[in-house]
Amino acid sequence: MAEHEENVWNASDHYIQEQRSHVLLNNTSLSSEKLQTVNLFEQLKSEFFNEMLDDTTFSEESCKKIEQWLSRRTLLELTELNLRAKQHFLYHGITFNVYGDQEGVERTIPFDLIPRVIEKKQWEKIQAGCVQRVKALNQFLYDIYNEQEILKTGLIPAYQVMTHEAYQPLMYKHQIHGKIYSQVSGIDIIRDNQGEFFVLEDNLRTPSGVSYMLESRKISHQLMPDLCQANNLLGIENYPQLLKQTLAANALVDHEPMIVVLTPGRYNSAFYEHAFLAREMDVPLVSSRDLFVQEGNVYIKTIRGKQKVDVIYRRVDDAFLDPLAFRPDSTLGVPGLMACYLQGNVVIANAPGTGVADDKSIYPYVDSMIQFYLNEQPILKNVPTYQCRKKDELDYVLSHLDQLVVKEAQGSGGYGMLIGPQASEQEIDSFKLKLKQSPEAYIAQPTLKLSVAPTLTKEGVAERHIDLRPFVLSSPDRIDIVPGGLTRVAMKQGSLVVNSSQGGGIKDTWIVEALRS
Amino acid sequence: MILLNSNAYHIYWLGRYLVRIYNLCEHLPFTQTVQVHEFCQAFALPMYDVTSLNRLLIESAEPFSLKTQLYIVNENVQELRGLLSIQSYAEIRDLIKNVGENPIEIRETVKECAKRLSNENSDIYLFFTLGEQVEMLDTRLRFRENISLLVDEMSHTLNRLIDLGWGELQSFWHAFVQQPYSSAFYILLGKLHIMFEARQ
Repeated sequence: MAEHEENVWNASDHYIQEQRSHVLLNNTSLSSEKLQTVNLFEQLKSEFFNEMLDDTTFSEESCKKIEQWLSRRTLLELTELNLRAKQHFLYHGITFNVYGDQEGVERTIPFDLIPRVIEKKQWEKIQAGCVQRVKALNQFLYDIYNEQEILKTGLIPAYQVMTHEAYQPLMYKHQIHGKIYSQVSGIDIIRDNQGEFFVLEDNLRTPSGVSYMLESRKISHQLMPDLCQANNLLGIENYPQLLKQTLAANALVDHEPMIVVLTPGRYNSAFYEHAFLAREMDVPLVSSRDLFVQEGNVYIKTIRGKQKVDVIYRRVDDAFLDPLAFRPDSTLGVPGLMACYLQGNVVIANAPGTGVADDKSIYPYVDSMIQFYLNEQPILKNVPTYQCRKKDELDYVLSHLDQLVVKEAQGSGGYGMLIGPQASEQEIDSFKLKLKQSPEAYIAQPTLKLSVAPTLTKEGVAERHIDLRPFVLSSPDRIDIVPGGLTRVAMKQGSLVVNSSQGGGIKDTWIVEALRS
Repeated sequence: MILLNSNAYHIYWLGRYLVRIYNLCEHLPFTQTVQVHEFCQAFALPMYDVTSLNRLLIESAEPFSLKTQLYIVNENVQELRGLLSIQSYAEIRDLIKNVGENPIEIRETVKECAKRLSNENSDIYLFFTLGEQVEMLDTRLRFRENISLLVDEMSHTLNRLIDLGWGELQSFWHAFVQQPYSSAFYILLGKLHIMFEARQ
């Protein structure tokens, strides 16, 4: 999952000083004994919000059901179930490559058996919040590429948008069907110590991870069929069909549209997902060599001759889409594609130029966008953010660097950031220089005590930090969102990194009304 | 299912390489100098001795070695990831990954891979069969063996391609049938490969 992943690096002082939130089962004799019953999760109580214990929307009985299921098995049995998941991933080639990894080793994403559970009413709030947010962001995109009303009010500095690297001048005044720029959006959500949900980041370009969400559910059904069945989980298996319907609804033709998935190729770290979605939607998976432009239309080369393409679900970044319009050295795109797009002869999902709306420097304005475009209060809050481009906020950041997390506005994958509480004096001094040189390139956020969930480790069940990425599908007449999303978990003790390339894992996300076993 | 030219190309080469590996394994290990010389002549290799050729084919990473050819099979399978069924992809991948070292085990693996591909969509199977037949014909021409039965089978395959719209192959195929020699065969293959690339 390379596209726009976010490390959750907000560390607390307590976390650095003492990690005391796991059940130690080092005694080898316990490996053949049942896990401690009844109080299995109770022993995990720490200063972090525990998704299983501290969520008052659950009945206490609900939490006990999963505890009981786990307690009926030995640690060895549970570890073996997790291993079966890994074997499933390896067998099916559900792996990813890490960029720059000299060995080119394929890695599996660690899967944790213990699901992350969200009560239905809580989910409804998350769902409503994500839908609201994506609606506002799509309207923002339409606005900045047309009348720019929000810029005229000064709510968002025009300079910040118009000079943004991801702002695509080609898109100015180009009319998009239904004003939908981001058909597939991923919203990264965290929870603080009070159980409050916050949006950490919006992903509007090429959000990934949905295939892992689907595989997690598949594996859960295989490993815990009784528990899954008994709890009547809200289904997510229809995501590929929903995605296809969404893409079709965004098409500009009256007949059934020809949809393709455009991939950079099998050396891309998310290639598995591209192939997965193409196969599940029963549409061609294409790369640049399969497409060509002729007389203003885009075609694919098939064994039965050329076929006109109506919708391209692209997993290629803007800069590589068309060497005639963007990077001339790109071999991943299609020469002439943008000309066809601007003539309205093909739809590109997500549209070029969406990146300006999911940037960290624009993120602080999303609450304002919701109020401006929808005349509503945000249902999901932003994490408080300091924009270093603003002098007063820069001054604050510089004098509180040891307490803040500072990120590159256009960064991803956890690179180029500073975690103040964990940084040395030298690192902080060095970062201060960077901030003073290019303040507009950074944002800062206070540290948050992220929520945790029980996670199976070698030593037993322990707390690990998690986040959530629901996927929102937008078409002119509707917005769909499958229940839950992808829960990412920091697998290492003491770590807050959910990024898969740095050891982060995944959990199945269950939306239930009440848990049963 | 829509089969792209690029997919068809990879399937075709998958067919060719699986047959190539199978045929190679039937020869291995060489035991007689005459066999070795015949093989080297057919494939335009230097005249190795028995030991050297066996070592090169079985152990080395030379372009014509078993190891390299299995690698190419795997590469072609990877390119077909979005096309093959989940089960076929996983099984073929697993077979190649765990292939044994001796020629008999490798031949069995090749047979199993071919079996899985024969269960795929008819378009996929068509191009796989095409690859198999092209490779068999190529090998028989090299060893100057009788090709009449194979020509009949391949006519049937080519007729199916022509029905798809690959009519440009027809004259080249007729030229080969009239003069069934390597030169006409390679001209036919050249045309076939162009059609994979530039079919519009």
